[in-house]
Amino acid sequence: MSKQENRVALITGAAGGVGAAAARELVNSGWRLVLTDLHSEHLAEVAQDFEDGVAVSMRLDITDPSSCDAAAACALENFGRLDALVNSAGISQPANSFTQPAADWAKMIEVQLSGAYFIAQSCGRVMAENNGGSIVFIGSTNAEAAFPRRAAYCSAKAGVAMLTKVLAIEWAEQNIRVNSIGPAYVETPMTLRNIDSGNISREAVEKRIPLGRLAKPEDVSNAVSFLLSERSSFITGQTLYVDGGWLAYGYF
Amino acid sequence: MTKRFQGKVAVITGGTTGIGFATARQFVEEGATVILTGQNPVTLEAARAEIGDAVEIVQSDASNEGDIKTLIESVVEKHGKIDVLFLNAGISRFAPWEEQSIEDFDHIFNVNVRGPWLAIKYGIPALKDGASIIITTSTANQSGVAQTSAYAATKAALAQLARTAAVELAPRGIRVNAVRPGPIDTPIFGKTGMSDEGIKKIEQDLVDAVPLGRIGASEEVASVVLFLASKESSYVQGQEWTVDGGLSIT
Repeated sequence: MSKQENRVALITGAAGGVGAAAARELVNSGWRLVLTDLHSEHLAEVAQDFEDGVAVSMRLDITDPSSCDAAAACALENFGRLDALVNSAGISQPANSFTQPAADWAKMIEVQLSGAYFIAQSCGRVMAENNGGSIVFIGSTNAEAAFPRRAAYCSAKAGVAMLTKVLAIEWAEQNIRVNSIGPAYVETPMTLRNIDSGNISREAVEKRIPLGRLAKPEDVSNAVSFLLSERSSFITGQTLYVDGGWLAYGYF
Repeated sequence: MTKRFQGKVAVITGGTTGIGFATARQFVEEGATVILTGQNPVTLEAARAEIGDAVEIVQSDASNEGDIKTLIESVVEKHGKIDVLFLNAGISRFAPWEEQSIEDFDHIFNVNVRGPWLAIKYGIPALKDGASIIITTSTANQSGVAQTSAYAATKAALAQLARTAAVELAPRGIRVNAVRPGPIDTPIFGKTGMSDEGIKKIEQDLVDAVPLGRIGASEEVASVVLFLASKESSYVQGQEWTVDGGLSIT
């Protein structure tokens, strides 16, 4: 596979889970990175294995458009270009739909959906002025598959799938491809916390997935790397599900 | 860098032209032993002339049970196993519904659906645990395109074959997925019986409709097939990945 020498990607939610796995994968393929996270204090841990000059880190609140603009500007200042966005930032908080407070609903939509849009806007504008680029949102099988007590999360992820399509069509002329990856459960700190707290039963999930296991972060980051490369040059507007067969499964 | 498919055996049906041929080339570049099939003596010969001894080219009718059995048996005899089965052979005959012959309908279903079903049936014992099956479908399988009544239905059926096989074969770690091309620069239109002029008009209409503003290259589908065949996609199961420059999302 071709090395992506000197191309520059901005990763959100890079401090852990899928974002951190994507960072490692992309550095191995020769990318330069802007690593961002709301909890930027944990970014040093991810960047410590990288050679000097390969990655810069900064705090990003994707719900704040000016913070998003600053992150895109950071790519230009440090590397002179921006070729890709990997939006992995996300939160998860199950809630009873009879009683979920409006503020909780709003927060989930703000981070998962509005944040995806704001960071895509900031990065898309920079890409449009150059030679285009590739945007990858980390979506979810919950864009298609409904879960109880996840009204906001599922709705937001379905929104991301549609956002993917709209931006793909609108920005095709600028040579920007826009796609999503839809994992089910990935063995990330977020998922493991949910297993520990009893929100998710590992046994039930493994039984529900035809391939019989949760996704590894690398399963998702491999797909990220694919979508950022020329190997996927005719794919745009798609949500590619990396789900061990979750959506194909017919229950009996 | 190690080649991704060193030591792997890949069988490609309908491999002498278009997407199948481009995929064969990429597999060869990445170290695989490739067996490709075709039926038309002219394209078989052209493929031989172009790719030489790098692949095994077998004349085999993708709709014929005996041919399919023989193909699988001969690959197993020679190579001991199959790691990648790319079921790509397909035909189309476009015609107004009332004018399409029943013979055409049966033939299209035999090649496009019955053949792949048989290839999976007889391929299962030969497939290594952890092998990958990839099936070529089409964006015509989820939208109405006039005069494609038989063809589009076969491609919808294929997507379902992929989902069922993915669930049924998952316990062996065999992955089954589909690649769903939109407008690609393959010779398939030339096989539909349309005039050159008609083909040109369709191609221009398609270019205008595709958000990325062009027809895709066979190589751009092949690279997706290789991803789905590789370890990198070891968690992708029962999916149909669309490769259409954005055509079908509007």
